[in-house]
Formats: sequence, C-alpha cells, structure tokens
Amino acid sequence: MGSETRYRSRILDWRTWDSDGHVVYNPLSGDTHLLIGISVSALQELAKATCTADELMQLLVKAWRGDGPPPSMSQLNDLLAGLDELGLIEVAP
Amino acid sequence: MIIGELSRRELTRRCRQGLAWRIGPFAISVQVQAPLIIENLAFLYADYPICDNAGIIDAFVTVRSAGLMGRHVDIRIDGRKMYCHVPMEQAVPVLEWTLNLCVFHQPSVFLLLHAAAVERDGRVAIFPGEAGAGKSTLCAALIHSGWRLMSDEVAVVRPGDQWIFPSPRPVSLKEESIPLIKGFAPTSRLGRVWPGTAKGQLAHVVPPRESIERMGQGAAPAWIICPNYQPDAKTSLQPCPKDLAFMQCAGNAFNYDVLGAVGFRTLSALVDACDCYAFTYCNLVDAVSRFQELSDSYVGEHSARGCLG
Repeated sequence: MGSETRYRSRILDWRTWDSDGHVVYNPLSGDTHLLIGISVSALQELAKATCTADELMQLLVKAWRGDGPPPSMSQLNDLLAGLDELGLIEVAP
Repeated sequence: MIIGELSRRELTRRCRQGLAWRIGPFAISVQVQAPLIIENLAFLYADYPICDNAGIIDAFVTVRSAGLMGRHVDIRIDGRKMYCHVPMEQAVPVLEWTLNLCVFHQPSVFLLLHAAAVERDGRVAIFPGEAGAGKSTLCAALIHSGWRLMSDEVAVVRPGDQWIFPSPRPVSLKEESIPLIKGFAPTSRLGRVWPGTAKGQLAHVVPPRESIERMGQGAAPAWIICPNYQPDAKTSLQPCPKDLAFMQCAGNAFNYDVLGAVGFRTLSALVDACDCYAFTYCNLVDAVSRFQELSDSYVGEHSARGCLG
C-alpha cells in the first residue's frame, strides 16, 4: 500500500468491560475478535476518521500511555495489514 | 402424564411406535425395540412428561437392530444415520449422546451454549467449558445440594432478556466422577455403569424430580463460572475478566455464529448481567460450600440494593 493510502474502520459492534480486552463483532464477516493494546487504539482512531499510516502513527504516539516505546512504523504497517486481512479495516475511497 | 406412569407393556408398545417426551423447550421422539434400552429409558426418564403431539416434535430418533444377532444397533436422527453398528452394551450412552445432538443442532432463536447451568433463588450459574473440565461433576454435586438443574450440557439463552431456560437431562458422569458423586450424594439416582465407551466408563444421574417438574420455569443469569477440576488443588474462585468470559462462552456455543449479530448482542448482554469467575476445585464439599456463599452474598447484596421484591 502507498504512503498516501487512507484507511478506515469498517462498521463494527464493540463491547468493552473493565478489562484490557475489547470484543469486536464484524457483521460483514460474522467473525468475533478479542483485541488488546495497540490494535484497539488503532481501530478506534480509524473509526473516528480516515487516516494514512503516518497520520495514524502521530495520533497513536500522542495518546501513547503504554509501557515501553510506542510502535515503530514497520510494526504499525504490519498491524494495518493484519487488521485489513481480518476485514476490520478497509481502504477509504 | 409422565413416562414412569406407563405400564411396562404400554411403555414397550409406545417405544416401538415412537415414545416422545419433553425436555424443557424441546420435544424428542425415540423409537426403539431393544428391551435393554427401553429399560434404561424407563429409569432415566421416568419423571419426564410424555408428549403426544407429533406436530411439535423437534427430532425423531430411531434405534434399529444392525446385523442378524441383535447385538448391535444403528441410531438415526430424522432418518440420517448418526451412529452405526453400536454394540448393545454401549447403546444407552450412545443414545444419550444422540439426544444431545438433537438439541445442539436444533435451528433455534435461542443462543445455545455448551455449558452446564444450575439455579438457586431465581439466579442461574452457567459453567461453560470443554469436555473434561469438571462441569458435569460440579453440576451433579450442586443439584444434590439445593440447586436446580437447568442443564448438564446446554444453556438455553433467550435473546432480549437473556433469560435461561431449562432443558434438564440425566447428568453424564465419567470415570472417577462416578464414585465421587456416589460418595458425595449416596441418595442420588445413578444408572448403570457402562464400561468401554469412547469416553471411558460412563453413568448417568437422574435429576431430582423438582428440576424436571419445573422445566418450564426459566430464570435470570447471575454468574458465568469456568470450572477446572484439578486433583489436589485448593478450592479457588477468582474473578475472570469479562472479555475472556465472553470468548470462552462464544467458543463453547453451538449456534453463536449462525445467530450472527443477535448472537453477539445476546452474549454481550449475558456477560454484562453476570459476575464472571474462574473456579478451581477438587473437593466437592468445599466446592458446594463456596457456591452457597456465592449465592448467599448475591441475595444479600441485591436485597441491600433494593433489587429484590
């Protein structure tokens, strides 16, 4: 995917409790996913607005509260590829 | 009328034509001629109400002789062969598995969880889990300690309000659980022990009559408890994160995927409504006592909040 590719979250059903994990249902695929950590943050940002990978990285770094350093660009690209493969995000028109 | 009120002659006649009885929201017909199987059906299902309306039968099970000597049977559901050439000495436990399949694979608007469920004071504890986790053993102990059996195998959850509906059937015990329950509840009605099945030694505990008489009464869910029998382990009830409890239930549901968004929302609401725990045990007396404390504290807590009455 090129650096100008814009991503967005698909319309998903979320359930969140007091624990770290978030359960997400994708009505298109019928699949249910348990997500934690950076996956949750990335998907929540992409649900608010479309983003390129760079824009998303800036948002995640700004909000970063985790132990250790924020993810690298390479890790973020892998994450986006994984979320795309799962059908949780799509390329925005 | 219940099965136990039939004369032996009438029972045999009905079984040859197809004897149907209700199990909670389900009605199943079993057609069989083998005296050994009829005798055990009469014992295990004596308290169950007969269903005479063929229009509401969910599944038709037939048990037919396979081979010339009458030592094996084939078992079908709605004409489809499920088990072939079953030795007669294993036919009763295999028939019980067949009745499980009749329920598991029902097209249903209810969410069907692979879980045991018991009720006390109007609140249901649900035990999802894989085979061998210890849920049937725990279930058998609790139903002989003041808890009502909702089901040993399938928790029936109604979308919308997550009400749990009973489908109580004989509780299946394996191997060392058999003497364990015999020792814990000496007055329990335990059927014959069947050796050499695919799951080892098996026996079935007949539910207390009250569980069967009240099979039309649902109740609200209160706890999701993932049991784990561990020899020599200390009894331990630990809070379980709700996201993990959700995935445990979803992974142990028969029709979660089929129900789609309804399944997701029903299970979410069920988890919302319940306190979730992981439960390790090896001593049944301690385990039952811990459950009593759990039930008492729930009633006390909700009385204080003004949630009852």
